[in-house]
Amino acid sequence: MNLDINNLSKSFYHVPVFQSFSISIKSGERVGLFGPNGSGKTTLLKMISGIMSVDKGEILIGNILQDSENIKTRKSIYYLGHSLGLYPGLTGNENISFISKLYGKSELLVLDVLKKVGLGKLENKLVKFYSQGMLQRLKLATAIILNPEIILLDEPLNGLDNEGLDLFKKVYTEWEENSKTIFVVSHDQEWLKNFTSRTIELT
Amino acid sequence: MIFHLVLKDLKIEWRSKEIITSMFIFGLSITLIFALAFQVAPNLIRTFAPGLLWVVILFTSVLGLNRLFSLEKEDQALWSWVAAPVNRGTVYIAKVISAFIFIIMSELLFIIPFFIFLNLPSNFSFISFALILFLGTGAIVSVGCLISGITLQARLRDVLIPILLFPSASPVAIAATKCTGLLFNQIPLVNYLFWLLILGSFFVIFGLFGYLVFNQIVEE
Repeated sequence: MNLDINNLSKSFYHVPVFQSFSISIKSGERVGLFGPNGSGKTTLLKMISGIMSVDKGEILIGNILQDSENIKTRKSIYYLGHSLGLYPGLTGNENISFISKLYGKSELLVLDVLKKVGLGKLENKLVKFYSQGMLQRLKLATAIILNPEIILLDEPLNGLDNEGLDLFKKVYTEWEENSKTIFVVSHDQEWLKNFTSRTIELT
Repeated sequence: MIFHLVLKDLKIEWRSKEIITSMFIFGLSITLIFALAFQVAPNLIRTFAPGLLWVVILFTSVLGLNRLFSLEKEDQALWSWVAAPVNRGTVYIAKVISAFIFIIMSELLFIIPFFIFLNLPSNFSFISFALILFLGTGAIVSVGCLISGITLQARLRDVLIPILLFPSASPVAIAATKCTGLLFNQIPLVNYLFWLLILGSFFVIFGLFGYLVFNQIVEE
């Protein structure tokens, strides 16, 4: 699914972060994004996912305008962000099941996916007791089960141990093989060069 | 969808029991303060009791609403539904239902001590009293959830909720106090239908307004 951003502008307290920013990402393309702190990498991903509003310009998800009233576009995107985006007071299984229902996906696969990311035995543990690496795996499990067309990854390698990194590479390769459109933010430029088709620097 | 959203709030509360417990203890504390303060003029208590009751309900509601919406900000859990393909208006309706359940449950817990500590007679229609509580709480909740949603992304959210809610909900407090006062004086329900209508109107109008605007107000 294509992702097109046209003349996007966003300011915080009258300080512009983006001014007429445009980019076009083709279906199945993997694009890396890097830049210094405060350059707007996370802001951009949040605007694409619909979590954050835009001041000016448009974001087109498969030629459909992304805006707060448009539910359809949000079904095609998943934002795996810095923050957890899950409820600490629910178990891993309950969180994934809850999100699956929001996206109209079957809950039958939840346990299988949790097993796949190595959280099968921890499915009934409250998320507030998960370690950083476990949380990252849980977010990965959410992305797997939602199976969106466009995946937005914000520092996806943070907190992952070697086993977690291998798991992430495996899942990433599957997304690549299934021609998912991937927009990934990372400080690791070497990783971005190796795993994306092109990189963009925000200044 | 609303069922799943409400169930999620109920599950979290069932485990933590934070909202209802804190609302109950807070409501009980204010009741005790009122009971002690009015010991100097016990003959006035029946006159002021309806107003005091709704002050307690309004104050405890602020506490409950604040906590209920704080759950969404912990680890940015709200991203799960803000980014999801759901009408965010349904999330507002679910929040109204969850808040209503929690506030009504805490009311049921502190209303009995309220009557005991303030030494109030209970020779009035319990059905009419339940109706007033239902509509009054519903009106407070529909206004409160809208304000909590508006302030969800604000840094001073904890302070903003009472600052915005108290003036917005003052017509509700007035109407509910009028109804309760007339009920305590054993005046038939037909004589305060007007005030009940105000409560019902607030409940419905703010409920619809919240449903329609929640889509925009929860985005960062």
